[in-house]
Amino acid sequence: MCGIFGSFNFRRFVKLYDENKQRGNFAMGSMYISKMKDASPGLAKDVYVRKHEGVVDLQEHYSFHKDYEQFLGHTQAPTSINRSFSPATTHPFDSVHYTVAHNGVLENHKELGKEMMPGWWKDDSVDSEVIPGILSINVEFDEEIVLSAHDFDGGKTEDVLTIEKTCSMLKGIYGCWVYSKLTGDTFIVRNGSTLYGNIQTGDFSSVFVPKLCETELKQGVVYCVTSEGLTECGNFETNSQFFI
Amino acid sequence: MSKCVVPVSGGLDSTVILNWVLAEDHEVHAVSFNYGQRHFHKEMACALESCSDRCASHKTINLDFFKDIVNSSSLVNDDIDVAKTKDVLGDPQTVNYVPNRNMMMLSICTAYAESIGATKVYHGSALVDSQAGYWDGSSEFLEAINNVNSLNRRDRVEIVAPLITKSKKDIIELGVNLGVNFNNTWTCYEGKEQACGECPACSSRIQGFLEAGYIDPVKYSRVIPWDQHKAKKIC
Repeated sequence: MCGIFGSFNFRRFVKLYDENKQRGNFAMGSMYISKMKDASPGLAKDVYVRKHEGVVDLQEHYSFHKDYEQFLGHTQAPTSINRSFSPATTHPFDSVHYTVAHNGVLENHKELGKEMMPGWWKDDSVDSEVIPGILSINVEFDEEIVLSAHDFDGGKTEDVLTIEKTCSMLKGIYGCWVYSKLTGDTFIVRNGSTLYGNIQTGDFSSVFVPKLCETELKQGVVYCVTSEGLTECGNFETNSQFFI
Repeated sequence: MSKCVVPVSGGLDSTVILNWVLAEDHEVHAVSFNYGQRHFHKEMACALESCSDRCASHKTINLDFFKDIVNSSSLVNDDIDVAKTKDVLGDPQTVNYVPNRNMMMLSICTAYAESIGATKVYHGSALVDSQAGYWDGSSEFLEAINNVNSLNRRDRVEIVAPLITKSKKDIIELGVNLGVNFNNTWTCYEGKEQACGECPACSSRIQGFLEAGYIDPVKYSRVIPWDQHKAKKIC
C-alpha cells in the first residue's frame, strides 16, 4: 500500500514507517525527508532526502537524526505498469517551490500536465508529478495568490491559497503532504485517500496507527502541520468518485 | 445485426452496457460467471432478469473452483472481511481484488465469441475501476489484451469497453436514457439482503447517483443523504 506519514519525533516516525510499509501488499520503494533544526526552508542541504528501493530499517538511522526536527515519509507500492524502482521517478516530487508525496490515483493528470506544462510533461510521466508543477505555476502566476502576498490582514497564506487552488484542479484520489520551500511549512490534504492524524502532536499517516494516528482527517481540508499539532487552515471542494 | 458477446454480471455497469448494445440492434449472446463470489446469488438474479427474452442466448459459466485456488480475495474467501472504502481508498490493490479475474473471464468470452462467429466482446469496465485498485479494469489492460487477441491469424475478436473513460455519473445518466431498471442491478460485494453502502463498489455507485441527481432505487443498510443532495426519483 502506498502511504504518506510524518512526525516531529523520529521514534514515532519509525513506528509510522513500519506500519505503512506493512499494510497491504508491499513497499516497492520508500523515502523520507528530514528537516534540520533551524533549517533555511529552501536550502537543499538543510532538508535531507533519502530514497530506498524496497524497505529500510530506520532503526539504523537514529544517531544520524539528532539534529533534525521533522520527518516526512512515503512508502510506495506500484500503481502503474512500471514496477521498477528508480530514484528519478519515485516520490517525493519536486518543483522549485514545493516538495510533494502523494498516495492515490489521479484521473486528469495527463490533461493538466499537457495544458499547464506543455513541453515538459510526457505521456509516461507519473501522475503524482503533476502536483508540484501545478503548485508552482499557481504560486507564481495565479493573480489572486500573487496579490495575497501583500495581504497584511492575516488572511490565508500564499501556501494555503496555492494548495487550495491546486486541489480544486485535481480529479481522482489523493492524500498528500506538501512541503513548502518558500516558508518551510508543511501541509496535508486528502480527497478520497485514507489519512489519519493526531491533532495534538502533528503526526499523520495513511494507515490507522493505534495511539499515534487515530483521528480520521477531514476530506477537503488543508491542514497545517506543526510540532504543536494539526490545524485546519484552508479548504477545497472534493471530487472523489467515492461516497464515504 | 451483428453477433456479439456481453459478459453480464448483474451489476450496474454490465447492465447498462447490455442495454446499450441491445439498443444498437446487435444479436447479443450473454454470459454470466459464477467464480465463487459471495454476492453471486444477488447478481445472478439481476442478470437473469436483464437478459430474459432480450438476448439471443444467455449462458452461466461455473468457475466456482476458483474459490479453491484463490484465497486472497474477500469476494471469494468468507474468512476475509469485505474492505470498506474508507479503510482502503488509495491502496493500489485492495483485499477485494480477485486475482486475474477479468483476464480469465474475458478469455472465456473471447473463446466463446470466436466459436459462434462474433467479432466483439462488450466489456463493462469503467473509469472508477482503475481508481478502486483494479489493474484489470484499466485502459492499459484493455489495450494489452486486445494486442494478444490480434495474434489470432483468422478470427479476431475485439474486446470493446465503451464505459472505460466514463464516470459512474455518466454511466447512470446513460442508463437512465436507455431506460435501465436500476432496481434490477446488484453492486454490493457483501451479498446480503440490503446493500452495505460502505464497500468501494457501493461507494462509487452511491456517489454516481448523487452526482447524477437521482435516488438509487436499491436499498442500503446505512442512511444515504439523498435529500441533502436534492436527488430525485428516476421516472
